[in-house]
Amino acid sequence: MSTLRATLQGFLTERLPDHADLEVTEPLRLGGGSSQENWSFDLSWDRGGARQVTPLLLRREPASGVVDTARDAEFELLRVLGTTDVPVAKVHWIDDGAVFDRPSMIVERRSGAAHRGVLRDTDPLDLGEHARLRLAGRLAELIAQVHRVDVETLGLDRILPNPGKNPAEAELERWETELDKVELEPQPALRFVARWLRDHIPPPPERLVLVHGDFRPANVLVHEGRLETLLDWELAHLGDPVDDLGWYTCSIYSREHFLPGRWQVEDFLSCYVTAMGTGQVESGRLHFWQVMASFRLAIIALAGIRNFCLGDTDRPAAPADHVARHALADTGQVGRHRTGMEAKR
Amino acid sequence: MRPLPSEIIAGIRRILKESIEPELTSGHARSRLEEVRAVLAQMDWDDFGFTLASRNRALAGVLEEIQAWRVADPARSTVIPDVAAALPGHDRLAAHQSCFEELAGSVVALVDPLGDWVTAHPEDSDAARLRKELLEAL
Repeated sequence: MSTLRATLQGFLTERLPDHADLEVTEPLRLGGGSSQENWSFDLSWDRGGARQVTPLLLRREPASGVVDTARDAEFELLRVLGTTDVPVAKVHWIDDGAVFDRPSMIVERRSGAAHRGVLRDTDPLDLGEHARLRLAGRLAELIAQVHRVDVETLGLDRILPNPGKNPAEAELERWETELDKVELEPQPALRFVARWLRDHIPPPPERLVLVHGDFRPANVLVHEGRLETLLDWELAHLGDPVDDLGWYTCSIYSREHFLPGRWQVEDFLSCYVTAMGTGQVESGRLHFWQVMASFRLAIIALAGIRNFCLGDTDRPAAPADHVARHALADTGQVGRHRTGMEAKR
Repeated sequence: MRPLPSEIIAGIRRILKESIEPELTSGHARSRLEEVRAVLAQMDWDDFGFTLASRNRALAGVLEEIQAWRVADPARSTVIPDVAAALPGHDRLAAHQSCFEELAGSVVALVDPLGDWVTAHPEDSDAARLRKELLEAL
């Protein structure tokens, strides 16, 4: 029995004293998860002579992640969302690192598959054109569902930090601080992007919503053609609803999230505002959050590079200059030029 | 000089795909291997050093122009920082990398002062042009 399996078995036996002959299967590390280790295992026990089986997932912080997360806040957020109609995995137990070495949680393991290219014509989940277009529309409705969650009634403002008078300023400050932490060499393109963002801060939104923070097809489990579960809440925060829309529609993701001529940014936004029952999304506000999305993605890439260069991760990383240049081009201050490898691809 | 760096990498990617991947049973290991292959494909192994040197020359050229524009006006000299723009004396990757870090640091120091100057002096078309050239050299 591996050490992790024995630790899991001990942890669960302690928490489920009435489960006779409790056993866990050997945990298998899953491939996905950019900021978490995901270990799949089954819990089984005896009830009335029959074996009961529950599929579970251990989500553990890696030695070096690409984003800082507060595991207890995420656990509490998921626990509360479990009482709403937002499709999230049920959370069972949390450990601050005392048992599993690093902060971890054990959650329900749901059926389905997540694939970042699920909407693309390559159709990696074999859904077919009609089902993919239906899924694309359902994604817009799903993020509206998240944004309709009542922050105050559910007490989310006691779980997640208050972003202050303007979430855009708070996010910019947060990610500039992150850039200071992760850059291995000066990043002039990103500093120009930060300046552009400072010069284009939109007014505060009419109301604060729950922002998922990493809403995209890669983070939804699809089961039998339907959206089953919204995953990866590590970047969730209170903020501007257009934050999630900018992330989803940012230029870096355009080839994965949209189908030219059949499902475009306008279709996504139209579906979203219909589901929200609100007016059109302001274009200036959307542009700000799209640039913010590219800025964050470049910084996340730099964090991965830092971890790789320090030998703290088993995830390889290549230079991220093209992401930084992409972010700069998104501001509209320069054109999109292709250099080196980009031109050869 | 055959195989070229790109040919070596292409061969290694093929071996990883055809010989190593089929032997892997762990989903985690397969994902890592896929990422390794992707990263190997992303790099411009043949021209990396040349691209860096060319980028340094472009940056140094614009910084020299900015320095000349800066010192031509006492008001500009007080608010725009002095910028370094020396290129390495020999073509070694380490020298160019060190040079890039110095040039990039100089550019970062210019971001806010130059932005503020362009906003405060919309009539200064040279400032706007130099800022644009700097952005394009990045």
